[in-house]
Amino acid sequence: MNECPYLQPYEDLVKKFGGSEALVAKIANTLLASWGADYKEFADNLRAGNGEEAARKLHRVKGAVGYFVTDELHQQIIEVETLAKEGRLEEARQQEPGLLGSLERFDNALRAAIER
Amino acid sequence: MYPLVILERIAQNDQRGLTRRVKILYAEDNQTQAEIIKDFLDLGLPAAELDHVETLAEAEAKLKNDSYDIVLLDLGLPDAEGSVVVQGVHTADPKAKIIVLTAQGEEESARQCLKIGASEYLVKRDVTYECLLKAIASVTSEGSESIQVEVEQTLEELRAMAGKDSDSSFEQFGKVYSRLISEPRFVKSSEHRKFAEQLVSRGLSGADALALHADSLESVCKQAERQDLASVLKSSQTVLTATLVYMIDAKRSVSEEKPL
Repeated sequence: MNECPYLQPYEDLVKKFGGSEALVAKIANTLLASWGADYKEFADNLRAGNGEEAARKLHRVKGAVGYFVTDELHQQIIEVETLAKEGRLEEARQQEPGLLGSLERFDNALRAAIER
Repeated sequence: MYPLVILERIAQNDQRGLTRRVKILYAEDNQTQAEIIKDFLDLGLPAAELDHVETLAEAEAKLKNDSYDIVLLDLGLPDAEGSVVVQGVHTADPKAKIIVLTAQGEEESARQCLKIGASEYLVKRDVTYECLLKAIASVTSEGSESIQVEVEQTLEELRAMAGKDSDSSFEQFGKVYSRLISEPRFVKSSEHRKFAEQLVSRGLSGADALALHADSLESVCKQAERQDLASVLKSSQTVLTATLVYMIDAKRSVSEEKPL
């Protein structure tokens, strides 16, 4: 049982990964080690006004975290990605800190889940 | 629910399910996603051969130099996106079965890909170990299931026409007859004619020949690679026709030689 609204229930994750807790931990560790770098590239590109590239980078983040996050966080990512893709950069910039906060909460919850 | 037995057979590369190792090409540039799919395959298809590439150009090059049963395809590669990716892969190897992995919200694009060569699509976020194996089982058995049915129907028809079992004739002649079916170079050769004459001299009728043909065909099909069944079935028709014609000829010769 986890309390983070952004992380799928651990039991569901294990089921999704063929019943293997080891596999969940392995993939989670890869994800935890990599999403930050992709996110930074997204944020840098967004600040620099490169909407399409920012959207591409956020798309990668979405692909990586997609297996673990809840619909709520997934939708949040899609919204910012769409804004960046459509060139609505100011709106995307406004939403970016909130998105980062959600992803960090997700990150903490996932770390705690696999440590348990 | 997909029959568990098929998943198990595929997982074990069982002779009854897949007669050879499944070869998969996986095109994906996102490392985390790639690792997830690779781990699913390691877990479910440990004997599968997997090649991973990150671009369409690399995928096309692999497909031109090698043969794959399945291509798992991300629609957002660095050098191409959407249907262009599927078209490129399908052109490079029209025989490879394509399973598209698409992002949530882009299902319409994936559905379009089914019209231009993809066999199946999966939404990445929803991909589980089980559904990935199901998709692989589904596309790899597409063709082989139908040919298996065709073989069984043919055997049934032949046995119904014969109206009898081959009994001891299969023990006597099955080995040679099976060779005629499996090795097309002997079909309509002088050996084939002599073999048919031998059947007549041993007193076999047309019905006996049909029964012998059915048992021999069944024996060859059991040993054949699944992908070879269609050609075995096709060549067996020529074998049967020629055998019956040679037997008629032989009978006619025998009756002509009989003194009045």
